[in-house]
Amino acid sequence: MNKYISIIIHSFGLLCFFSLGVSNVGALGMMTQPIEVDKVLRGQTLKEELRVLNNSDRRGKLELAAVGEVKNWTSFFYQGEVVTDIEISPQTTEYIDVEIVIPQDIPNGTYQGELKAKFTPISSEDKGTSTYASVSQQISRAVRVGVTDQEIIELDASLSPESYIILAENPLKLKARYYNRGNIVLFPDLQLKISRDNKTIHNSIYPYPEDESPVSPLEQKEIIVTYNPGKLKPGKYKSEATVFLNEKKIKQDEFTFEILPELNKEEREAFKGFYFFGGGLALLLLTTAVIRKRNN
Amino acid sequence: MKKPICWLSIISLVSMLFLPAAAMSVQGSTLDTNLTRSGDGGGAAPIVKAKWEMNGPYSELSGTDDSDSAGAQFNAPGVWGTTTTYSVCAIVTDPDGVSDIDNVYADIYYPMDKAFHPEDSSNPDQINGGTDSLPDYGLSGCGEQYGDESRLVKLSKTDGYNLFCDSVRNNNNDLPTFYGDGEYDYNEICDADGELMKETAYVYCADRDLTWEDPAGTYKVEVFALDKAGVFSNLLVNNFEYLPLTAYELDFNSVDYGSVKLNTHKRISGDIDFGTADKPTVRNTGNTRLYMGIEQDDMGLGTTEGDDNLRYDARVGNNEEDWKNFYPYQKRWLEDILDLSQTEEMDFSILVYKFPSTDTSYTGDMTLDAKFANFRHCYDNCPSCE
Repeated sequence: MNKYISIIIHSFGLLCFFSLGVSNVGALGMMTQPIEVDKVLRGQTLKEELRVLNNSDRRGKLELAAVGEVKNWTSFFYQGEVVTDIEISPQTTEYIDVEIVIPQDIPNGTYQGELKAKFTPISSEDKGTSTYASVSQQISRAVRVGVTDQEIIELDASLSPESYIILAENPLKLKARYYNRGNIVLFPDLQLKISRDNKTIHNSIYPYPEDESPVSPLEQKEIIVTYNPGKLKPGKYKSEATVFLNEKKIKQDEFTFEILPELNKEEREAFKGFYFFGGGLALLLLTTAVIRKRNN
Repeated sequence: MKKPICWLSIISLVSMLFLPAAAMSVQGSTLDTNLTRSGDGGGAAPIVKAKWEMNGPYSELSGTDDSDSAGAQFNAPGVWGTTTTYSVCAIVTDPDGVSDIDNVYADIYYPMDKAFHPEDSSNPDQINGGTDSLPDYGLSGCGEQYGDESRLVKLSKTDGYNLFCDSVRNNNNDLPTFYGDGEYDYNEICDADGELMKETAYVYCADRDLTWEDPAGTYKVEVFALDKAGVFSNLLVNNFEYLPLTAYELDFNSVDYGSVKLNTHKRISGDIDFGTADKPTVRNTGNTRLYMGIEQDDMGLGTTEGDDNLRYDARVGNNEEDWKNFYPYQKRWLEDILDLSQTEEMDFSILVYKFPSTDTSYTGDMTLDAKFANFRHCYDNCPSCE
């Protein structure tokens, strides 16, 4: 009998030990790649993201702050709202947007600071009657910003169609992806040339869309240009797409696309399925349809 | 007379046959073995046209990574003992036909410029070291191969086309690295006459893991293919980034100094047994080394003629030289760097010069901070180690 009582007491003790051990753990992490940006203009906004992990079993308050020279330039956003703290659940990763706005009235130079995330558990513990300190956890991420008054124009671009095979009388959608590596806003233009058997069928310049915000410094943006081939004959066409910035050629790409003959309803559904859901069956049906049409 | 001669001949023959083997076995030496690779069997070499890394497993065909930057970047899990899975993928063709491709292989290498534990006992860490001018050195990493070579698995035409020409091309366009000087790109591989559509090239993938304690940094990935005649393809090399995550775990959420006497240091000693809340322990769950920092309020003990009525001390580890003292509301970074996956004790001390009242209970708030610390250096960068 004593043996059983002993086992129960020890098991209870172990249970208490482990439950205390787990509930007492604090576990905080933050992505700490330094934010280092050079050649930033006054008035420019830098956008970043904080990735913060609460790997403990406790809910808590996450206080967000900037210190150092960037203290008054920095704002934190969570789900679109400006915040100074958020509540963070156990075993959760949160993403907080950060904006650093460079003031208009500062001299050229390098400015440094830190972004901080501080986790304080939300608990209703009795602190007892002795000399006692509650512990919060914090992690810092370094910031270094080089401010200049020299304008820099630098744009990377890549071009490719949304799909290389399009149904008759459906539009060709060309995706232009821009990455503004400079420090001023940019409005790149696009030229699209389509030819078949060395005969140019279409050649147009598509100015940057008026209803679209410009490509901001350090922003990556995708612009879709649509060309409607109308009654173009089925078959393969060559396409040449060129990006211009202030009439200077930035990037040129060539590709071939194919206009399919009219498909029946079943084949059209398969085509839609392929491009919207990427299903294997859809590809199989589409390929079968294309082969059948070609054989006809 | 004939018989002894006959016996002598037999014994001599047997000796000639077995003595050399016996001699070798007596000496216990290792045998040298060698082979010469038979010459290339002819034919054209396979071509690795493009490659990339993405969130794994590859069966999910995600085509994603963890950042908008060009190439692949992966987040560390930040949880003790866990891993993050990523996939290495490549597009391979062979002018002799895809059926001539025997296998596709990938080799991964640790960052060239970062070492990790263990420290070299012949060149141990220094007090206040780990800085640019006085670096810590490590014996692992530094461009070593990470694990064994992986053999990549061929995806079906549909999976390969959907992954590369749809998911990657449309949603993560700057993920892949293309071979050559512009001969290969999305249009060449994916368009109506492209190799994936015509099945003259296929996508090959393999899954790999990074552990929570692998150092953050730039990992090199090499991919090559072999055809059935043993002809090697080009070696396509790119890098991915394991993003730095500074993370630490505590087994305590309060420090109870207990009964404190005037002008007497009251120490709370930690241990390296994670899970004992009354003996504080910290462990590094990120993929960077880190400095621990500390700041504490005055617990209500206040000041006398502008001087604080108390002082604190703290350290990470158990070196006597590592104790750092600090006053209320003063931030102090502690000396000992917490290494990758290191578990260490945290010790605290309080010294009260004056109690402001007859109260017996004083409570306050302590903030433990952490910031990135330099990685261990590789010996190539060690001027005194030539």
